[in-house]
Amino acid sequence: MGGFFSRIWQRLLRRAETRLVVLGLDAAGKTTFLTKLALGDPRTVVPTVGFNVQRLDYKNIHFTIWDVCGQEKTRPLWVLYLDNTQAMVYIIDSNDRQRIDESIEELDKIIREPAIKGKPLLIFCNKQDLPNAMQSEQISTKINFADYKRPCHIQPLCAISGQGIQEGLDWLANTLKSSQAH
Amino acid sequence: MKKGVDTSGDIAELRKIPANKRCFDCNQAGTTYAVPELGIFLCSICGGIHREFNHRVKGLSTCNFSEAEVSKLKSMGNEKALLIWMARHDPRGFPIPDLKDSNKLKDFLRLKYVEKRFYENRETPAQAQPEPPKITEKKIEKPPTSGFINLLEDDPTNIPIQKSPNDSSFTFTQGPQGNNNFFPTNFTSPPQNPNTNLFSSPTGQFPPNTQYPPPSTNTSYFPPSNNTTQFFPIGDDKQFMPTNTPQFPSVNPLSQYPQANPLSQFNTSNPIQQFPPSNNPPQFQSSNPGPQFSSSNPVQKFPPSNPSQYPPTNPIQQFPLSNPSQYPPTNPVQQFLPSNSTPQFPSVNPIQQFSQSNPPPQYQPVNPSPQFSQANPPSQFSNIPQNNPSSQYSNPNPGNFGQNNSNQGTNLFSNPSVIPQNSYTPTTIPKTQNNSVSPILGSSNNPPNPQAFSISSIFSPLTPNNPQSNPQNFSSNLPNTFGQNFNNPSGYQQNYPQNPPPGSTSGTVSGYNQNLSNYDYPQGLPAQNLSPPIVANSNQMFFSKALDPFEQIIEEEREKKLMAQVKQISHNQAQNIMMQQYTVQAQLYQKNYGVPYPYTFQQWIAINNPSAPQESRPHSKNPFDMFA
Repeated sequence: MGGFFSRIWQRLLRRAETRLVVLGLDAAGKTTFLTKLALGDPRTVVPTVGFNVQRLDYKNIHFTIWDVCGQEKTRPLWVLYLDNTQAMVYIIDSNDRQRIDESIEELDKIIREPAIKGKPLLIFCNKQDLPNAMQSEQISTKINFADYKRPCHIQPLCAISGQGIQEGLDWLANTLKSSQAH
Repeated sequence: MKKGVDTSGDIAELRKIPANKRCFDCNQAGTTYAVPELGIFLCSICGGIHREFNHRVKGLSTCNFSEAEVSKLKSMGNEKALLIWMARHDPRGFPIPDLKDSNKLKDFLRLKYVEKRFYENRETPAQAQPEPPKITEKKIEKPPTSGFINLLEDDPTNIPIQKSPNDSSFTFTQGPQGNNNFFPTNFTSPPQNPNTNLFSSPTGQFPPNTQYPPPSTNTSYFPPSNNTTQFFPIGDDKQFMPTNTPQFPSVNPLSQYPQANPLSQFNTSNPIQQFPPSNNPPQFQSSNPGPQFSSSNPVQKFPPSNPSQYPPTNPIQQFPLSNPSQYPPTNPVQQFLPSNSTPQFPSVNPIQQFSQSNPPPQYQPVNPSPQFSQANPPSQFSNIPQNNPSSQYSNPNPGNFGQNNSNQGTNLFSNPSVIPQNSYTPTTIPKTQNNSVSPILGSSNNPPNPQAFSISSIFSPLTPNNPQSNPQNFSSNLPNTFGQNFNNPSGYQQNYPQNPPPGSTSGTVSGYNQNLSNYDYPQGLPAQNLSPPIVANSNQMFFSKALDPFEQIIEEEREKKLMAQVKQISHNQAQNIMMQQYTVQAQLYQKNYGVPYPYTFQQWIAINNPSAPQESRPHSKNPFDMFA
């Protein structure tokens, strides 16, 4: 009896299934972000080979987060992870000033993929706790958001302490909900 | 990375070099990553750690290397980099941790790359010496673990090189300082060759086995192996415990760790500079450990042929001059010198002289030596009965030297208010107290606190014959909050360190390395704020075992456990008081009504403290599971 009612309730209040892809250059903090998000504690992560997947319930949205290896030769494989994704998270190492341009180039490249056309884009400027880190406003001036033609949000982040994760995910959840309502 | 340049062949060749086949840091077979800035090849785990140090870690097979990076990797490689980055590394002092111990490995790599503790570039000597590792002060000064050289060996010449697996290594880190009266030694004849003398060596080149030994070795470097002097403590160890314990030199245990450059050892810790004045009264200059680590090399000041460089203020440093006429004629030490050793007197190790002049019977006030009577009036020592714990507090400087570690433990249990309320880190709790003198034992300046006895008296078992069962005594002893919030024993825990308030930023680390290792000490502390020396047993000032840096992690965990015990004890304390309150009430009831008290202790607690009403339904995470 109870199972019957609960099934009815779950049908009525079906949670949204959302698939996220986390991209970015190597050593940007993608795996640390995912580890902090899913497990709650930052730990020393080894460079990712392949991908990591975690599931997460946040604001009644069921996230499946894919964290993809960001090394140079594996960046062409990012396209393979873009199918059936609802949103993209891009992480920039704002402490690595030499490679910020490279990172934005890669973002420009991957954003043109038709698989994620019109899907919201959340940009995390990671490592904001470091003293030499660029501010997110500085980075946002380098990004041409007008060309992207999608809801975009840039968010400073410290993946180790977790500051900024919640704000970014809040924005993402609200955007996804509003997009599904239409 | 420049496109169009294919360097994968060069990388493949570099990976065939046998040194590059093993990880530079953990020596594991198989390298998958490289750091082109440093020119080293790494395994994946060490590569992950290197990324925390903001090194650019590149996958050998997943990244494209530019020509400059390839040339750097070619010119350096693991083999050459080992000579640079591990030049000053002594595997006995800092054993390379296992790969399984990722935290240890991380700490080790932080020492290696961030602090550059083992770094030395010998090819370019102008840049070769990076700044010697900063003398960082720890939050607490951990008392070194006690130990003794087994100086009562049959053949004392074997002592320095003796290796026994059972004996942990003991190092003599410092000569007797300030107070020279507790160094009862027997000596053979003075050294024939002044260059072999440990302390007057003009070249500054210590024999290697007389240097600071690594803590894991069993060689005790003092007395020196050339053995011009022989040290024999006579009798029980406690006989020459000083009451005024000078500063133990191993305030920073990391600074004691061996370095490859023997001259740099002099800079960090020079035994000559810490050498005791012979006819000086005990001056505890060394309670501030900062000046001990002066950057100037005092060895060069010490050759006896150059008396002008001696600071004229220090009486000892006029002592070993080559001109015997400069000796103070009233120096009683000369009385004890053998006549045949007088021509060699300038080169005689001063430690021998005053040690010779101070045999152990000088501790007894009945037989004070003339020097003893000059510098240290024997009345200071007259009240030292042996094996009397309160004798530690009879010294004239109780605030600086009258405390030991066991005293701190007493404070924890008897007087909780000693502990600072906001310090939640267990490593900073008890030992940073500057003037914490045990309220029970007291000291010469601070008489014993009677309140401490009253608290502890509550713990005495309650029996009908016990005078403590008088309820009037109880009510005076019970805290005021007892009746108000009876069920809250945390009122007793409020004096103990708690978690930081959520808004406080003191617990968060602003750097990228979130986990503070035990190598991260607060730097730049003014020397005045350092806590006074805490010596668990005062004999440890002589013979100490230098701490393994990784043992400190274990030690901190031990302290955490201790704090947990303290909390538990405070909880038990509340329980105990409640039990006594109950007993008092039961006795009063029986006395007034002639009937035994009808409630048991559990019932009594339940009556006085009705528990909070439970929720009608236990909380379930699934809001739809209402029929579960």
